[in-house]
Amino acid sequence: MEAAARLGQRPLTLRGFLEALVARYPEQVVRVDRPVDPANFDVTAFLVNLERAGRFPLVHFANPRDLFGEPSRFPLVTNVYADRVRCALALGLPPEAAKLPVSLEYARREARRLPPVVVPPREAPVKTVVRRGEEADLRIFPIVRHHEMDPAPYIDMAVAMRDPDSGAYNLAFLRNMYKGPRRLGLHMSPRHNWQIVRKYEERGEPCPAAIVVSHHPAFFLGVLNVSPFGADDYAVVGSIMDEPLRLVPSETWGEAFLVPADADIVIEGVVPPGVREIEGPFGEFPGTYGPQRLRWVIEVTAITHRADAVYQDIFVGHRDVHILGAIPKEGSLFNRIKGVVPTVTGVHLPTSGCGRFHCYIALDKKVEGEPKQAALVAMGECDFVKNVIVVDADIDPFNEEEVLWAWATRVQADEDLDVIKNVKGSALDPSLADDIRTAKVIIDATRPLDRPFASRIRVPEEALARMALDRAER
Amino acid sequence: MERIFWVACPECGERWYADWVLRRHPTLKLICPRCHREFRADEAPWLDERGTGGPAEPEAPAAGGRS
Repeated sequence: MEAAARLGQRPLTLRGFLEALVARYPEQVVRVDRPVDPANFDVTAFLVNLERAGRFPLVHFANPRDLFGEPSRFPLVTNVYADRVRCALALGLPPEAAKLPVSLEYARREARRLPPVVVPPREAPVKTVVRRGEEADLRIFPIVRHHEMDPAPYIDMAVAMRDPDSGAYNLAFLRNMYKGPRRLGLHMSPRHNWQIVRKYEERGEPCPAAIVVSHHPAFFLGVLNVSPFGADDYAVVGSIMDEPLRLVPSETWGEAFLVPADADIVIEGVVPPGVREIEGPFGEFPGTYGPQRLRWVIEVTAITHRADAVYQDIFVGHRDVHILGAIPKEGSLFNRIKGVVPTVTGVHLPTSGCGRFHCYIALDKKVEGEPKQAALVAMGECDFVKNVIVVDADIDPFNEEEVLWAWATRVQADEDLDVIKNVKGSALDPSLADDIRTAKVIIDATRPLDRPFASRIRVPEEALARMALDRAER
Repeated sequence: MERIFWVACPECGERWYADWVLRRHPTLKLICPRCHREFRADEAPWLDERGTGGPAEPEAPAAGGRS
């Protein structure tokens, strides 16, 4: 795939990406110079107003306040992933790769590994400023309070942990509630990082954790890889960035725990064993609040950052998170389905399903039964996938209006709809009546092969070419 | 999603919801997301516990936490 569109020089950095984006795709960025108070909803209110206007740019707040209420030294960027074009650009692909090609390229890179390289602290930009002990005060950051019911500002970027058995690092987006200058609440679903913390707790030991607050967008796209537990995420993320990730010893654990050298901001801390505190509610990716719960905490031990660091946030519950979640899954789903149903032509997890719950599959059906087989693969491969609509290859799965048209005109519910009960789902799905089990539905919106079927209306291609708008409107 | 119950803050009246485990815990205090008042669920002026079924097994008291 074309790599000439890559934004910024190697090694990849957030600032390099932002400068190149502004220079080459200025329509992708909105800069806000007026002072804003992220802890008082100024940032998310602006994003919702953009959303209501149908606009999804990356937003650069040049003058946010920190948690002291003072002008922060860190500008804030958010909504980075709310447009698939920017995600394609982040992976070094051209804008026209923003639909399925970016997902397939992601899947291709995810299947390989690029081992990280370790550099000394003097070569690590993230070590330009080092704050330890009382100086490691979270209030210096413009931390965002996102939604009305959130009890506090949250850092909502990626947390690195290390498996004490295998030594493999795991990265995941985890929410961190501001609780004090050196204390954060930590929510984890029962996935990879949860398993790592559990292992430390069984040993009665604190679990090292490093919050990577800001880095090049390809880093965070890589964080959402769907590799199995035990895969070293630093090697997977490097592969998705298409360059080996540069790592540096942490301030707290030295070479025993490495952190990304080219990050803008890293917060180091420990998850003490057996400690639980009240956390939440928090506006989550489905667009609803996760409930107040008892959750882990992080005790901050150090903060390191670049001299000109940019603070990064993700607009959870909105398109920013939905697209970020969809791209890493689409490519791997496409490849898995293709192994069983070779005529698959497209897979899309639309934002209407939070980039997770709805799955649209297009295929060039050759025999009956293929649609359901493809749908079952998608459901088995990804527990988030809940509602699958399978369409013919004449339907673009990235065009939701076409998908729903196929449902309207090619589906009889008594024949073409199947419900599968008691399957593992997402614990954050608010419709679950159970902690984890869900019901899933398959809608086969393909035309039947065993009887004559109505044809879709169309205007001749020759006429469309003859009356192309740029010629006909003259 | 886990079973939840809605609760109102005795201080400011804010309504939000919490994991059912917090309803059954004998000493743990909820924290109002608006005014940060800490209180036990039994002290709430309003609760909506419909559909939560029988009492859940309470978790062990939080070590070092706000309990």
